[in-house]
Amino acid sequence: MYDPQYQQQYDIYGQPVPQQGGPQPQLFEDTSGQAYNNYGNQGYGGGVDYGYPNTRQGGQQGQQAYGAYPGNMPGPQIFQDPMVANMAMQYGQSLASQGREYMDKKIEKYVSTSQIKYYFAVDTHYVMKKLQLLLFPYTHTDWSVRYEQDTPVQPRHEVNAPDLYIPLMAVVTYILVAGLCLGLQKRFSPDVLGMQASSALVWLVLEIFIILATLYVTAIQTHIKTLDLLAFSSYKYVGMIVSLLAGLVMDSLGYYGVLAYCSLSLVVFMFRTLRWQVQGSGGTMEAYSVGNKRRLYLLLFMSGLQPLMMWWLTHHLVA
Amino acid sequence: MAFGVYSLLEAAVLCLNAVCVLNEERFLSKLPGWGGSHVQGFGEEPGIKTQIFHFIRSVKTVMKYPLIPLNICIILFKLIFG
Repeated sequence: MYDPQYQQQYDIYGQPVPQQGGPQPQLFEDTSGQAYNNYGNQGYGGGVDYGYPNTRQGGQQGQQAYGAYPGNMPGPQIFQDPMVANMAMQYGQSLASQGREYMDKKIEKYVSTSQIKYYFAVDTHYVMKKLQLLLFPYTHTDWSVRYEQDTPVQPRHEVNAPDLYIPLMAVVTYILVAGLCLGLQKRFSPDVLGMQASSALVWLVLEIFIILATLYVTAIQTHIKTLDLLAFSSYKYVGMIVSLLAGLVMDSLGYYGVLAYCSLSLVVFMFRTLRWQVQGSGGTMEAYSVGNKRRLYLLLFMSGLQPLMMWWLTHHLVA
Repeated sequence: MAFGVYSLLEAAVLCLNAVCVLNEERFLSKLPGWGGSHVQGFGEEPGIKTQIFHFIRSVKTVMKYPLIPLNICIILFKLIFG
Protein backbone atom coordinates (compact mmCIF):
# COMPACT_ATOMS: atom_id res chain seq x y z
CA MET A 1 0.00 0.00 0.00
CA TYR A 2 1.00 3.60 0.31
CA ASP A 3 4.30 3.42 2.13
CA PRO A 4 5.15 6.48 4.22
CA GLN A 5 8.80 5.78 3.54
CA TYR A 6 8.26 6.90 -0.06
CA GLN A 7 6.69 10.16 0.94
CA GLN A 8 9.87 12.09 0.24
CA GLN A 9 9.97 12.40 -3.53
CA TYR A 10 12.88 13.57 -5.66
CA ASP A 11 13.00 15.42 -8.91
CA ILE A 12 15.23 14.28 -11.77
CA TYR A 13 18.35 15.81 -10.27
CA GLY A 14 17.97 13.92 -7.06
CA GLN A 15 16.96 16.99 -5.11
CA PRO A 16 14.08 16.51 -2.69
CA VAL A 17 10.87 18.11 -3.86
CA PRO A 18 8.63 19.72 -1.25
CA GLN A 19 5.62 17.53 -0.81
CA GLN A 20 2.14 18.85 -1.24
CA GLY A 21 -0.74 17.06 0.26
CA GLY A 22 -3.13 17.87 -2.56
CA PRO A 23 -1.78 15.96 -5.57
CA GLN A 24 -0.69 12.91 -3.58
CA PRO A 25 -3.88 10.82 -3.66
CA GLN A 26 -4.39 11.70 -7.32
CA LEU A 27 -0.79 10.64 -8.01
CA PHE A 28 -1.37 7.34 -6.27
CA GLU A 29 -4.47 6.56 -8.33
CA ASP A 30 -3.22 7.68 -11.74
CA THR A 31 0.29 6.33 -11.46
CA SER A 32 0.20 3.56 -14.04
CA GLY A 33 -1.41 5.63 -16.79
CA GLN A 34 0.91 8.55 -16.22
CA ALA A 35 3.94 6.35 -15.99
CA TYR A 36 3.03 4.83 -19.35
CA ASN A 37 2.15 8.21 -20.73
CA ASN A 38 5.34 9.77 -19.57
CA TYR A 39 7.38 6.84 -20.77
CA GLY A 40 5.67 7.18 -24.10
CA ASN A 41 6.52 10.88 -24.16
CA GLN A 42 10.13 10.17 -23.43
CA GLY A 43 10.27 7.58 -26.15
CA TYR A 44 8.44 9.34 -28.96
CA GLY A 45 8.65 12.99 -28.04
CA GLY A 46 5.00 13.06 -27.13
CA GLY A 47 3.94 12.15 -30.63
CA VAL A 48 1.09 9.94 -29.53
CA ASP A 49 -1.43 11.65 -27.36
CA TYR A 50 -3.30 9.17 -25.29
CA GLY A 51 -5.74 11.80 -24.24
CA TYR A 52 -5.18 10.85 -20.66
CA PRO A 53 -6.24 13.36 -18.03
CA ASN A 54 -3.74 15.45 -16.03
CA THR A 55 -1.04 14.98 -18.63
CA ARG A 56 0.98 18.12 -18.10
CA GLN A 57 0.70 18.37 -14.39
CA GLY A 58 1.09 14.68 -13.89
CA GLY A 59 4.06 14.53 -16.24
CA GLN A 60 6.70 15.53 -13.81
CA GLN A 61 5.10 13.81 -10.93
CA GLY A 62 4.66 10.78 -13.09
CA GLN A 63 8.39 10.94 -13.60
CA GLN A 64 8.88 11.05 -9.89
CA ALA A 65 6.39 8.29 -9.48
CA TYR A 66 8.32 6.30 -12.04
CA GLY A 67 11.41 7.01 -10.00
CA ALA A 68 9.59 5.82 -6.89
CA TYR A 69 8.16 2.88 -8.79
CA PRO A 70 8.23 0.01 -6.31
CA GLY A 71 6.12 1.78 -3.78
CA ASN A 72 3.39 3.25 -5.95
CA MET A 73 2.59 0.61 -8.62
CA PRO A 74 -1.00 -0.39 -8.02
CA GLY A 75 -0.73 -3.97 -9.18
CA PRO A 76 -2.08 -6.19 -11.96
CA GLN A 77 -5.74 -5.32 -11.50
CA ILE A 78 -5.09 -2.04 -13.33
CA PHE A 79 -5.26 -3.91 -16.63
CA GLN A 80 -8.90 -4.76 -16.14
CA ASP A 81 -9.66 -1.15 -16.79
CA PRO A 82 -10.43 -1.26 -20.54
CA MET A 83 -8.99 2.17 -21.26
CA VAL A 84 -5.69 1.27 -19.69
CA ALA A 85 -5.69 -2.07 -21.49
CA ASN A 86 -6.24 -0.28 -24.80
CA MET A 87 -3.44 2.15 -24.11
CA ALA A 88 -1.09 -0.65 -23.16
CA MET A 89 -1.91 -2.60 -26.31
CA GLN A 90 -1.45 0.42 -28.59
CA TYR A 91 1.78 1.26 -26.91
CA GLY A 92 3.00 -2.30 -27.25
CA GLN A 93 2.08 -2.47 -30.92
CA SER A 94 3.74 0.81 -31.80
CA LEU A 95 6.83 -0.25 -29.90
CA ALA A 96 6.92 -3.57 -31.74
CA SER A 97 6.56 -2.05 -35.20
CA GLN A 98 9.19 0.56 -34.44
CA GLY A 99 11.52 -2.13 -33.22
CA ARG A 100 10.92 -4.18 -36.34
CA GLU A 101 11.65 -1.24 -38.65
CA TYR A 102 14.82 -0.47 -36.74
CA MET A 103 16.01 -4.07 -36.98
CA ASP A 104 15.20 -4.24 -40.69
CA LYS A 105 17.19 -1.12 -41.33
CA LYS A 106 20.16 -2.44 -39.43
CA ILE A 107 20.10 -5.86 -41.04
CA GLU A 108 19.66 -4.45 -44.56
CA LYS A 109 23.21 -3.13 -44.41
CA TYR A 110 24.75 -6.57 -44.02
CA VAL A 111 22.33 -9.02 -45.60
CA SER A 112 19.90 -7.60 -48.14
CA THR A 113 16.60 -8.91 -46.83
CA SER A 114 14.63 -7.94 -49.91
CA GLN A 115 16.85 -10.10 -52.07
CA ILE A 116 16.58 -13.03 -49.72
CA LYS A 117 12.81 -12.83 -49.79
CA TYR A 118 12.97 -13.62 -53.48
CA TYR A 119 14.63 -16.92 -52.80
CA PHE A 120 11.98 -18.03 -50.37
CA ALA A 121 9.02 -17.30 -52.60
CA VAL A 122 8.27 -20.95 -53.29
CA ASP A 123 5.24 -23.14 -53.14
CA THR A 124 4.60 -26.86 -52.85
CA HIS A 125 4.37 -27.48 -56.57
CA TYR A 126 7.76 -25.89 -57.14
CA VAL A 127 9.39 -27.86 -54.33
CA MET A 128 8.02 -31.16 -55.62
CA LYS A 129 9.10 -30.42 -59.19
CA LYS A 130 12.55 -29.33 -58.08
CA LEU A 131 13.14 -32.38 -55.93
CA GLN A 132 12.05 -34.57 -58.78
CA LEU A 133 14.42 -32.70 -61.09
CA LEU A 134 17.29 -33.11 -58.67
CA LEU A 135 16.86 -36.84 -58.58
CA PHE A 136 15.80 -37.43 -62.17
CA PRO A 137 16.82 -34.64 -64.53
CA TYR A 138 16.99 -36.71 -67.67
CA THR A 139 13.55 -36.07 -69.12
CA HIS A 140 13.34 -32.33 -68.54
CA THR A 141 13.90 -30.46 -71.77
CA ASP A 142 13.58 -26.76 -71.18
CA TRP A 143 16.10 -25.41 -68.71
CA SER A 144 15.84 -21.71 -69.48
CA VAL A 145 14.85 -19.19 -66.85
CA ARG A 146 12.29 -16.57 -67.72
CA TYR A 147 13.33 -13.06 -66.84
CA GLU A 148 11.20 -10.14 -65.87
CA GLN A 149 12.98 -6.81 -66.22
CA ASP A 150 16.45 -8.07 -65.61
CA THR A 151 15.66 -10.17 -62.55
CA PRO A 152 14.60 -13.77 -62.73
CA VAL A 153 10.97 -14.61 -62.21
CA GLN A 154 10.14 -15.82 -58.74
CA PRO A 155 10.74 -19.51 -58.12
CA ARG A 156 7.05 -19.92 -57.54
CA HIS A 157 6.42 -19.39 -61.23
CA GLU A 158 9.58 -20.78 -62.76
CA VAL A 159 10.86 -24.24 -62.03
CA ASN A 160 14.38 -23.59 -63.25
CA ALA A 161 15.08 -20.66 -60.97
CA PRO A 162 17.23 -21.30 -57.89
CA ASP A 163 15.77 -20.98 -54.45
CA LEU A 164 17.08 -21.11 -50.92
CA TYR A 165 14.23 -22.96 -49.28
CA ILE A 166 15.19 -26.45 -50.42
CA PRO A 167 18.87 -25.92 -49.53
CA LEU A 168 18.00 -24.66 -46.07
CA MET A 169 15.70 -27.57 -45.34
CA ALA A 170 18.19 -29.98 -46.87
CA VAL A 171 21.05 -28.78 -44.69
CA VAL A 172 19.00 -29.07 -41.51
CA THR A 173 17.71 -32.50 -42.52
CA TYR A 174 21.24 -33.60 -43.32
CA ILE A 175 22.41 -32.68 -39.84
CA LEU A 176 19.52 -34.60 -38.32
CA VAL A 177 20.10 -37.65 -40.51
CA ALA A 178 23.81 -37.50 -39.62
CA GLY A 179 22.82 -37.59 -35.99
CA LEU A 180 20.56 -40.54 -36.71
CA CYS A 181 23.34 -42.45 -38.47
CA LEU A 182 25.78 -41.81 -35.68
CA GLY A 183 23.21 -42.80 -33.11
CA LEU A 184 22.54 -46.11 -34.81
CA GLN A 185 26.25 -46.84 -34.68
CA LYS A 186 26.40 -45.83 -31.04
CA ARG A 187 28.76 -42.97 -31.83
CA PHE A 188 26.37 -40.21 -30.92
CA SER A 189 26.69 -37.38 -28.44
CA PRO A 190 25.15 -33.90 -28.66
CA ASP A 191 28.36 -32.06 -29.38
CA VAL A 192 29.02 -34.34 -32.34
CA LEU A 193 25.86 -32.88 -33.85
CA GLY A 194 27.19 -29.37 -33.42
CA MET A 195 30.50 -30.38 -34.94
CA GLN A 196 28.76 -31.90 -37.96
CA ALA A 197 26.76 -28.73 -38.41
CA SER A 198 29.72 -26.41 -38.28
CA SER A 199 31.77 -28.74 -40.43
CA ALA A 200 29.11 -28.79 -43.14
CA LEU A 201 28.87 -25.03 -42.96
CA VAL A 202 32.62 -24.59 -43.27
CA TRP A 203 32.84 -26.84 -46.32
CA LEU A 204 29.99 -24.93 -47.91
CA VAL A 205 31.74 -21.62 -47.35
CA LEU A 206 34.99 -23.02 -48.69
CA GLU A 207 33.36 -24.34 -51.82
CA ILE A 208 31.59 -21.07 -52.54
CA PHE A 209 34.78 -19.18 -51.95
CA ILE A 210 36.72 -21.40 -54.34
CA ILE A 211 34.08 -20.95 -57.02
CA LEU A 212 34.00 -17.19 -56.51
CA ALA A 213 37.79 -17.05 -56.72
CA THR A 214 37.72 -19.08 -59.91
CA LEU A 215 35.08 -16.79 -61.36
CA TYR A 216 37.21 -13.77 -60.56
CA VAL A 217 40.49 -15.14 -61.80
CA THR A 218 39.13 -16.34 -65.09
CA ALA A 219 37.17 -13.11 -65.49
CA ILE A 220 34.05 -14.77 -66.81
CA GLN A 221 31.17 -12.41 -67.29
CA THR A 222 28.13 -13.94 -65.73
CA HIS A 223 25.21 -12.67 -63.80
CA ILE A 224 25.24 -15.35 -61.20
CA LYS A 225 24.80 -13.83 -57.79
CA THR A 226 26.48 -15.16 -54.67
CA LEU A 227 23.17 -16.31 -53.26
CA ASP A 228 22.56 -18.28 -56.45
CA LEU A 229 25.89 -19.99 -55.92
CA LEU A 230 24.91 -20.74 -52.34
CA ALA A 231 21.71 -22.32 -53.60
CA PHE A 232 23.45 -24.42 -56.24
CA SER A 233 26.13 -25.60 -53.88
CA SER A 234 23.56 -26.72 -51.34
CA TYR A 235 21.48 -28.79 -53.72
CA LYS A 236 23.83 -31.67 -53.17
CA TYR A 237 22.56 -32.09 -49.62
CA VAL A 238 19.36 -33.58 -51.02
CA GLY A 239 21.34 -36.34 -52.74
CA MET A 240 23.41 -36.82 -49.62
CA ILE A 241 20.34 -37.33 -47.49
CA VAL A 242 18.92 -39.92 -49.88
CA SER A 243 22.20 -41.84 -50.01
CA LEU A 244 22.58 -41.74 -46.25
CA LEU A 245 19.08 -43.12 -45.79
CA ALA A 246 19.80 -45.83 -48.33
CA GLY A 247 23.00 -46.58 -46.47
CA LEU A 248 20.97 -47.10 -43.34
CA VAL A 249 18.73 -49.61 -45.01
CA MET A 250 21.39 -51.58 -46.87
CA ASP A 251 24.91 -50.95 -45.65
CA SER A 252 27.80 -50.06 -47.89
CA LEU A 253 26.25 -51.41 -51.06
CA GLY A 254 23.11 -49.35 -50.76
CA TYR A 255 25.05 -46.27 -49.80
CA TYR A 256 27.54 -46.37 -52.65
CA GLY A 257 24.95 -47.38 -55.20
CA VAL A 258 22.55 -44.59 -54.36
CA LEU A 259 25.44 -42.16 -53.99
CA ALA A 260 26.63 -42.97 -57.52
CA TYR A 261 23.16 -42.48 -58.93
CA CYS A 262 22.54 -39.23 -57.05
CA SER A 263 25.95 -37.91 -58.07
CA LEU A 264 25.19 -38.59 -61.72
CA SER A 265 21.80 -36.94 -61.48
CA LEU A 266 23.21 -33.94 -59.68
CA VAL A 267 26.02 -33.53 -62.21
CA VAL A 268 23.56 -33.55 -65.09
CA PHE A 269 21.26 -31.16 -63.23
CA MET A 270 24.03 -28.72 -62.37
CA PHE A 271 25.51 -28.80 -65.82
CA ARG A 272 22.24 -28.13 -67.58
CA THR A 273 21.09 -25.49 -65.13
CA LEU A 274 24.37 -23.64 -65.00
CA ARG A 275 24.79 -23.68 -68.74
CA TRP A 276 21.88 -21.30 -68.88
CA GLN A 277 22.98 -19.19 -65.95
CA VAL A 278 26.66 -18.87 -66.76
CA GLN A 279 26.28 -18.34 -70.47
CA GLY A 280 24.21 -15.23 -70.05
CA SER A 281 21.22 -14.91 -72.26
CA GLY A 282 21.21 -18.23 -73.99
CA GLY A 283 22.69 -21.66 -74.38
CA THR A 284 24.01 -20.91 -77.83
CA MET A 285 27.74 -20.63 -78.35
CA GLU A 286 28.88 -17.07 -78.80
CA ALA A 287 31.60 -15.94 -81.13
CA TYR A 288 34.05 -15.30 -78.32
CA SER A 289 35.68 -18.70 -78.15
CA VAL A 290 38.11 -18.14 -75.30
CA GLY A 291 35.36 -17.15 -72.93
CA ASN A 292 33.36 -20.18 -73.90
CA LYS A 293 36.18 -22.58 -73.27
CA ARG A 294 36.67 -21.05 -69.83
CA ARG A 295 32.98 -21.22 -69.14
CA LEU A 296 32.90 -24.85 -70.11
CA TYR A 297 35.79 -25.65 -67.84
CA LEU A 298 34.16 -23.76 -65.02
CA LEU A 299 30.94 -25.68 -65.52
CA LEU A 300 32.77 -28.99 -65.56
CA PHE A 301 34.73 -28.00 -62.50
CA MET A 302 31.64 -27.00 -60.56
CA SER A 303 29.69 -30.06 -61.58
CA GLY A 304 32.57 -32.41 -60.90
CA LEU A 305 33.14 -30.92 -57.48
CA GLN A 306 29.69 -31.97 -56.35
CA PRO A 307 30.11 -35.78 -56.24
CA LEU A 308 33.46 -35.36 -54.53
CA MET A 309 31.94 -33.20 -51.83
CA MET A 310 29.01 -35.54 -51.49
CA TRP A 311 31.27 -38.46 -50.86
CA TRP A 312 33.59 -36.52 -48.57
CA LEU A 313 30.84 -35.27 -46.32
CA THR A 314 29.04 -38.57 -45.87
CA HIS A 315 31.48 -41.46 -46.03
CA HIS A 316 32.43 -41.19 -42.39
CA LEU A 317 28.80 -41.58 -41.40
CA VAL A 318 28.28 -44.98 -42.99
CA ALA A 319 29.86 -48.00 -41.35
CA MET B 1 38.32 -32.63 -41.98
CA ALA B 2 37.20 -29.15 -41.04
CA PHE B 3 36.49 -28.69 -37.38
CA GLY B 4 34.51 -25.54 -37.20
CA VAL B 5 34.23 -21.85 -37.84
CA TYR B 6 37.33 -20.97 -35.86
CA SER B 7 39.44 -23.26 -38.01
CA LEU B 8 38.09 -21.52 -41.07
CA LEU B 9 39.08 -18.17 -39.62
CA GLU B 10 42.54 -19.41 -38.77
CA ALA B 11 43.02 -20.89 -42.23
CA ALA B 12 41.89 -17.64 -43.84
CA VAL B 13 44.31 -15.59 -41.77
CA LEU B 14 47.15 -17.98 -42.57
CA CYS B 15 46.43 -17.78 -46.29
CA LEU B 16 46.27 -13.98 -46.18
CA ASN B 17 49.57 -13.96 -44.30
CA ALA B 18 51.07 -16.09 -47.03
CA VAL B 19 49.95 -13.64 -49.71
CA CYS B 20 51.12 -10.57 -47.81
CA VAL B 21 54.51 -11.99 -46.98
CA LEU B 22 55.55 -12.16 -50.65
CA ASN B 23 58.32 -9.60 -50.90
CA GLU B 24 57.84 -6.94 -53.56
CA GLU B 25 61.43 -6.25 -54.57
CA ARG B 26 63.02 -9.61 -54.09
CA PHE B 27 60.44 -11.80 -55.66
CA LEU B 28 57.44 -10.18 -57.24
CA SER B 29 59.29 -7.74 -59.47
CA LYS B 30 61.26 -10.64 -60.94
CA LEU B 31 58.09 -12.32 -62.15
CA PRO B 32 57.38 -11.75 -65.84
CA GLY B 33 54.33 -9.60 -66.31
CA TRP B 34 54.26 -8.09 -62.86
CA GLY B 35 54.02 -4.38 -63.71
CA GLY B 36 51.17 -5.11 -66.05
CA SER B 37 48.53 -2.46 -65.49
CA HIS B 38 49.44 -0.49 -68.63
CA VAL B 39 49.50 -3.49 -70.92
CA GLN B 40 45.84 -4.32 -70.65
CA GLY B 41 43.70 -3.53 -73.65
CA PHE B 42 40.32 -1.96 -73.20
CA GLY B 43 37.36 -4.31 -73.52
CA GLU B 44 39.46 -7.41 -73.88
CA GLU B 45 39.38 -10.10 -71.34
CA PRO B 46 42.38 -9.89 -68.99
CA GLY B 47 44.47 -13.00 -68.81
CA ILE B 48 44.61 -15.25 -65.80
CA LYS B 49 48.10 -14.06 -64.92
CA THR B 50 47.11 -10.39 -64.80
CA GLN B 51 44.08 -11.24 -62.70
CA ILE B 52 46.18 -13.13 -60.20
CA PHE B 53 48.70 -10.30 -60.03
CA HIS B 54 45.91 -7.81 -59.48
CA PHE B 55 44.58 -9.99 -56.75
CA ILE B 56 47.93 -10.28 -54.98
CA ARG B 57 48.54 -6.57 -55.22
CA SER B 58 45.12 -5.66 -53.84
CA VAL B 59 45.34 -8.16 -50.99
CA LYS B 60 48.71 -6.75 -50.02
CA THR B 61 47.46 -3.20 -50.12
CA VAL B 62 44.27 -3.81 -48.22
CA MET B 63 45.24 -6.42 -45.65
CA LYS B 64 48.75 -5.32 -44.72
CA TYR B 65 47.67 -3.28 -41.71
CA PRO B 66 44.57 -5.14 -40.48
CA LEU B 67 46.43 -8.44 -40.47
CA ILE B 68 48.76 -7.32 -37.69
CA PRO B 69 46.10 -7.05 -34.96
CA LEU B 70 44.37 -10.17 -36.31
CA ASN B 71 47.55 -12.16 -35.95
CA ILE B 72 48.14 -10.77 -32.48
CA CYS B 73 44.64 -11.83 -31.46
CA ILE B 74 45.10 -15.37 -32.73
CA ILE B 75 48.49 -15.69 -31.06
CA LEU B 76 47.08 -14.53 -27.74
CA PHE B 77 44.16 -16.89 -28.16
CA LYS B 78 46.48 -19.83 -28.75
CA LEU B 79 48.68 -18.84 -25.83
CA ILE B 80 45.81 -18.62 -23.41
CA PHE B 81 43.55 -21.42 -24.58
CA GLY B 82 45.97 -23.73 -26.29
